[in-house]
Parts: sequence; C-alpha cells; structure tokens
Amino acid sequence: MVFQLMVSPGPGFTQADAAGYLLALFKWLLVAVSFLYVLVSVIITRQIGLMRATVTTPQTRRLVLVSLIHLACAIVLLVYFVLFL
Amino acid sequence: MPKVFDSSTYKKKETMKKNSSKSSPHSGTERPVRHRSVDEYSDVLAAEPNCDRVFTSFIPKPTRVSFESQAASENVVLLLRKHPITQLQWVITALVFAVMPLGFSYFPVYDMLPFSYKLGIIALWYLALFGFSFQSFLLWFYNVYILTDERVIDVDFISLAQKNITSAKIDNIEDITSESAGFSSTFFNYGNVLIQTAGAQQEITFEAVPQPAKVTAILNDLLLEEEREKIEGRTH
Repeated sequence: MVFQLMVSPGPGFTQADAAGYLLALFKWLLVAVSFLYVLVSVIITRQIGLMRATVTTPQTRRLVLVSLIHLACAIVLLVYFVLFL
Repeated sequence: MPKVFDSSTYKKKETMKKNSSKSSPHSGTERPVRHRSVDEYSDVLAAEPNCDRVFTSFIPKPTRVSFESQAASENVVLLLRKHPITQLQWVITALVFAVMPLGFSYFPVYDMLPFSYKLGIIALWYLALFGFSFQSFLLWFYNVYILTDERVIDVDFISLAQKNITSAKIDNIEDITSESAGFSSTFFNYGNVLIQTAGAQQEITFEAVPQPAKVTAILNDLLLEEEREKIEGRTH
C-alpha cells in the first residue's frame, strides 16, 4: 500500500508524505534492532561476571569496564534513535 | 676454677627441646608434608620467568590467577590458551566488516537518508562489530587450560551460555601425547596435547596450544614429582 502511494499518491497524499512514513518505519526498525542489541550487551556483561567467577586474572577488571562502556554506548544509541531520528 | 659442668645451660637446652617437641604438629610418627616449589623439580619451568601479559597464550607461573575449584594448597604452574594465530578468522572478518561502511554510499537507498539516519546506522554497525569482536576475544581469553601442581583443568566456554570444566589429577595421567600437524602449526609452533587419564574423563585435549613439546615436558615433570611425593610420603 505504501509502495502504491509512492507511485501514484492520492490528491492529499504526496510523495513527501510517503517518504516520511517510510522514514518513520525505518526509525522504529532501528529502535527495535538497537533495543535487541542492548539486551545482547547485557548478556555479554553478565557473562563476563560468570566467566571471571570461573577463572580470575589480573585483567578481569579491565574487561568488566570495557563491557560496561559497551553497554552504556548501546543504551546511548537506543536513546539517540528514539529521540533524534 | 674451670667449668666442668654448667647445669644452667643444660637445663636451657632441655627446656628448648621440650618446647620444640610440644609445638611441632608433626611430632612422633607423623612426617611434615612439604611440597616442593615447581622450580625445584622442573628445569623447564625454572627457566621460565613469571608472566602476566594479557595477549599471550603461554603463561608460566602466573601471578594472581585463580579458578573456582582451586584448593588452598594448589598452585597454578601454567596457564594456556589457544595460539593467537587460531583467532585469525574472526580478526579478518572484523577487519573486512570495519571497512564495509565505505561502500554504503554506493547504495541509493542509503544515500537518500538524512544525515542523522546515516550517523545512527554507522554507529550501530561499528557497535555491533565491536560486540562481535569483544565476544570472540572473551571466548578465546577465558577458554583456558590450567596446569596446577595437583591437577590438569580444561575450562571451555562453548558459547556465552554454555560452560564445560573438566579436571583430572596429575597422578591419574597415564599417557601424554603432543601432536603438531600442518604448515601453520609447525611454523608458529603450536599443536595439540592429548592427555589420557584413568578417571571418568578418559581424555583431555589441549587444542592448539603453543609450544606443545614444552607443555608435555612440564606435564612429565609434574607427573614425576607426584610419583616422588608418593614414594617419599609427602602426600596429604
């Protein structure tokens, strides 16, 4: 239906409106992907905790810090997609 | 007048002997349990300095390394990982995906997007790439093979959700074989060490570890020391 509107939009529906709908659809697709990625980041952070309980090394703290920064970046990206797209 | 017999020093010596026999927990028929340092019985490890580098896969006598089932008297003598060259596949994949965004502008759909969308897509791409690389690194970093003075442990994180830990006592080891096949194995000096044990887990394999001949020599030293401890009664 969106494609038909783009090819031959009605009198009150322009191609710009169609593009806007498509961009909105794309935006929420990115939000969904980003949200799933935040969940993956949480799993990675949790898994490091389980791994370091099994084997403790001097570099464990740095790895935990990297995973937390990674999680923070994923959350920031999700917020960016929701607010600024 | 010369001193023929000084009872004060004699009494002191007797008192000291009595005190030492009372304080010694192993007085009488018990022998003290003394485990030798690994440098004392293994020439191979004595020649290796203590190591704590991050991106290395052969770590002799690591400091500040421990694992969850480690006993208080158990010391880690060698920590092994797969040789870094075995990780080349995901490294190359990551590098290829890192340069792919340069070709995004050749796609008309991408080119028509506003700048904020392009920025978001690029950021998501590189964040996902970092996540993939970090996960691959973690699986390499925490899949370790641990040699202690008592046991051999294989820690396997098959995925982020699956863990497998196998251990065997050194004195249950029956056979040790090292194999190194292929050009890259020979060139980079890595290979497999197969350990046959008498326990429930009959075979433990150290896959693609560096310096497999040296690992085999260290295992032989540990095995010999266990035998000596049994003969000399230095076991728990």
